[in-house]
Amino acid sequence: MIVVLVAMEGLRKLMLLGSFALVLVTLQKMQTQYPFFDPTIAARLMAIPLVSRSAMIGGVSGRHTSPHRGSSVEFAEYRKYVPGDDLRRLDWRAYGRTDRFYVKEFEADTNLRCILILDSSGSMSFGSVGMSKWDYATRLASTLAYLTIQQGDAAGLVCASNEITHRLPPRRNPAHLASWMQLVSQVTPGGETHLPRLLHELAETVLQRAMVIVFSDFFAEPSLWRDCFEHLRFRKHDVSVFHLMDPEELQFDFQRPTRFTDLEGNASIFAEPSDIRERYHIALDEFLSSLQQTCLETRTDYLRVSIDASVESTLKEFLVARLNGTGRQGSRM
Amino acid sequence: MGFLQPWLLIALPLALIPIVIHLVNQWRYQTKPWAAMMFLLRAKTLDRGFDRLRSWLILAMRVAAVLGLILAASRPISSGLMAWISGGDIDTVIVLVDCSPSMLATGAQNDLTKHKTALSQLAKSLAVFNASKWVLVDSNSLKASNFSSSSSLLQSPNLRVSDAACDWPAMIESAIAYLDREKPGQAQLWMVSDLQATNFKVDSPRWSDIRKRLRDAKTTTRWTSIEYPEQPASNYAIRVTDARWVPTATDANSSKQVSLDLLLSMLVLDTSTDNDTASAASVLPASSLTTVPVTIAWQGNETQVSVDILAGRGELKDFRVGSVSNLARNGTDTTNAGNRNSSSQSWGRVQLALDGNLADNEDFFAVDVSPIAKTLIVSERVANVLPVMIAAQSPSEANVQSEVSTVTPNLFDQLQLDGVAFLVWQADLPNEKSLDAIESFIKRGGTVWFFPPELIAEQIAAPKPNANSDRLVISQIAASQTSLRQFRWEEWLTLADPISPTSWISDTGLLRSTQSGASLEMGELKVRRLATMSVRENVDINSANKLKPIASFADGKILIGSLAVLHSDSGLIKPEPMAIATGVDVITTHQMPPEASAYGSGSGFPSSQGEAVMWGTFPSEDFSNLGYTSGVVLYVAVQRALESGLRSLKSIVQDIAQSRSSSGDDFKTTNNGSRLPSRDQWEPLLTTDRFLSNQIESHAGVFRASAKLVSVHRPLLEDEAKTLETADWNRLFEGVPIKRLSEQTGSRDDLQSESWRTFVMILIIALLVEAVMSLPKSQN
Repeated sequence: MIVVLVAMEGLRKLMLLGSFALVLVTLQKMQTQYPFFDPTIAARLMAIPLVSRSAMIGGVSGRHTSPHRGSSVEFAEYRKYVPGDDLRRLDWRAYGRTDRFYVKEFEADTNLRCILILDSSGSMSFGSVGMSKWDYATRLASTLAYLTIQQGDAAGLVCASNEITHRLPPRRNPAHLASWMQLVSQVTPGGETHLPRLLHELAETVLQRAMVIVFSDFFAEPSLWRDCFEHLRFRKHDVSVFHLMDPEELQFDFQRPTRFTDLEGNASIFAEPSDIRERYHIALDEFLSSLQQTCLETRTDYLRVSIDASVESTLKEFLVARLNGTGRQGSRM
Repeated sequence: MGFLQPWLLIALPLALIPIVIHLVNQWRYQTKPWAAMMFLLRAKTLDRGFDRLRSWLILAMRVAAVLGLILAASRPISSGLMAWISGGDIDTVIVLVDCSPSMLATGAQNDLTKHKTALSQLAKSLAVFNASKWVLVDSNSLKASNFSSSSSLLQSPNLRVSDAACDWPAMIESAIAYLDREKPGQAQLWMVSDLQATNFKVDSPRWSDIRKRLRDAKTTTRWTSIEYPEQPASNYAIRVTDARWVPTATDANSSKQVSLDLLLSMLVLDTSTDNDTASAASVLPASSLTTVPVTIAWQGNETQVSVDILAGRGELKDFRVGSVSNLARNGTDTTNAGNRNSSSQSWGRVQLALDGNLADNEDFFAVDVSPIAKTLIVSERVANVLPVMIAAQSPSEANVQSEVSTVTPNLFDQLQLDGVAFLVWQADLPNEKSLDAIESFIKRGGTVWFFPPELIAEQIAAPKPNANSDRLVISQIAASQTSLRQFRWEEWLTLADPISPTSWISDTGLLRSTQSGASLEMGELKVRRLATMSVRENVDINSANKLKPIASFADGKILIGSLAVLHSDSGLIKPEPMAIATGVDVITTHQMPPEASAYGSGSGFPSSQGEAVMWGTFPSEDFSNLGYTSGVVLYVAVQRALESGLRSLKSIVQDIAQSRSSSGDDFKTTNNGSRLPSRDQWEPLLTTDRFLSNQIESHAGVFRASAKLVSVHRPLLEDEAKTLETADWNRLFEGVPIKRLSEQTGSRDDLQSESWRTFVMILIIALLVEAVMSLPKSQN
């Protein structure tokens, strides 16, 4: 009997080791196949859960607050008994004190559905630090997708430029991550930005509340973003945005006369950088402050990121901020 | 707007370099795929006015900087620029040029003279002006002359260097008078000078009026002073101080001089030596002694003689140049010796080797035998003036023959004073007719001594033109002086104890100290009887004609008085009392013309003119010891009076080269009072190479004027190399904005003008503005 027990314990540990090895092998394979995904960063960030700021409606139990009452250990409220209620939920002590029937309700924990929206317009292909904004966005999104699925939540994908080019509904299946990665790897940024319109579409099409994380440079009029965010918020979505900026776009320290060609069209502008640098910064600052203010007013988490910043630290800041419930505004410049 | 180096203006297209660089820079643009186009578009819409102009302003500043550099290098003319700015042209360009001998000095490093350098630079500078009137005021004429162009102005013969000194106050007055008369809208005045201090006459009272007129001038005038103060490294100046015949043989039968030696005295000055150094000659080492060769040209022969220069000064006294024979007195004999045109008249020149200034390397001399020193004594009793007669009979110089005549006063009117050098009057004061003769005598330059009569008549309260009056009325002695002088003897005073004069004039006049500096022993003179004298005051009398004491006693009584008679048209400087003191070491002086003092007493150059001397006592034993123990004083005074009187009789006239306007028009009154034909009628006998017949008055040389020889010298003050101090300049032109350009002699560069500074300022400002506008904005 003892021998059997020892053998079973050994078998169990062997299986654990095997599963762990399988995970490592899978991660290594994913990194080889999808260079935008860094498993080491993902592994280090797994200790920080991705939490939702608002209640989620999930299909299964999870770690996120649900708007419904459930069977968690966290007391929610008392409610008068109505016929049909489960008698097991009657609070007999309250009946003893008040001689009335009350039903004791508890919070329900559910999983979330995280929709990662990647701006795949032509402007996202710009980058001056060895990677483009698209590359940076895919690193952020893939890591977040991995973390989401790893904690049992569903992760979806939407790639949008002038249209929604790629879409993957949220799934919590670990195998879904490979599909997610596979789909992202197939996307090449291009075309014009119609993200505001597409966000409206998504707000209408994603019926169930979800965590919506947008990765974009948001090069559109700030007023358009306000409508989008309000629309998403109206649909009870927990909206977060990663505002990706290239250092050159922030500094604009060109010296020579330059002909700037639009990545989203055929337009070009010839300019003496020294002449327009000041005005460029004025316009940029106006845009950044306006967008940040829009996010603040629409209760959208806003994180401005310069793509030369560390992916890991950017995500850590994002996750920690959500975990602590502190501030909706931040920047990684 | 003009430029001194207009060829540099071909570099003006270089101003396009910034534009070309800008265009090339634009052409060399880089193409950048860009995502944030919305900010660029927004930046374009934010293009504010100044920002839009900023790049163009920067480009304009760069172009302006290059333009400023090129224009500054092209040496723009200030007036041209100012006229260009003000939108008008220069009406008149007035050029004032110093043509004095000192302008022939060369620079320390080259052989070009200041005069040539100035003309060269003026030619280049004036060529750029487009003035309608060109006016030249030169130191030779002192008058404003009009020319049609700058080239004709610069070719004017008036610009030739002469031997006359430059009178800057007169030149500036002439220019101001022209401006007042013509009233041009805008005028340019260029002063060209070597800043010789003596030419500016800093003590002249005319400067205050000049300053006032300059400040009050309504014409917009820009003054530019081009100065060549540089002195040559080495320069000597020579001048003849004396030239005279000395008899070496006399015909025993006729007592005529049959052989004469020419003795020449000359002075050589090192004008490059500091005056302070010269004054410290006694402490200079022997090594500072230098020898200068002098060439004496006379009678077609040249004689070389060396003059030792110590402490900047060398003097050769009575050098025997040569001799001539078969001469007679007063031109009665003629000879064919050399350049002699008259019997005993001769002339020549002395020359130095070439040095830093060609103009002061030669001087001229003319010589003639001295006339007989005739003395006329008019005395009521000869014994009263016997010592005077004895002294007059004994000339101090061996080559001078003396002759003394005595007459009584009543015979005086029958005599002719021609040939008389010295007149002694011991009697009642002369009557009107005699007075006229004496006036003419004094005008001619003779000296008259008045001694009191033995008995002085009773004083007369009012003057009356009586023939036997005891008053001497000297009226209209000088043509321009209309004052009435009334002299009279007051009374004889018999002194209990003989007294001596306590103050006397010891630096000039009869009682001046000797050349060695020893004063006459006036303190030994004892006066026992004294005739007091006075001049009756009259409204017409002026201070110049008052009785001036030559020697006086402690109580103010005059022993010897002087009634100086000066000719205003004689060209002499009016003597002014310099100082009066009392005591044994008295000096009361009349300032002598510097030219006069330079030639000493034996040169025939005048020290004073038309003098009437009043003696308050007799040189006899009962009256004073003048004829005995103090006879030296009397002898010296008599010889000096004779010498002064002889000058008017000499046929040699010493004169100073001077500008035309100051030399008179119709006639020339020489320095010794005699009238000569106008200079236009002079015949040049020996002149400098620079001589111009139409500028005869401004050139040194030997000239024949009627029967006389005129030896014209350059002014003594021209040999003073001292330049005008800055403080003096500032004082002279106080409140008058004059741009001073100190040029180097021999420089072939064009004249600098201040306008290039304007363009340099534009250059600097443009660069500064460009730098400020190009600064990156703060990255807040």
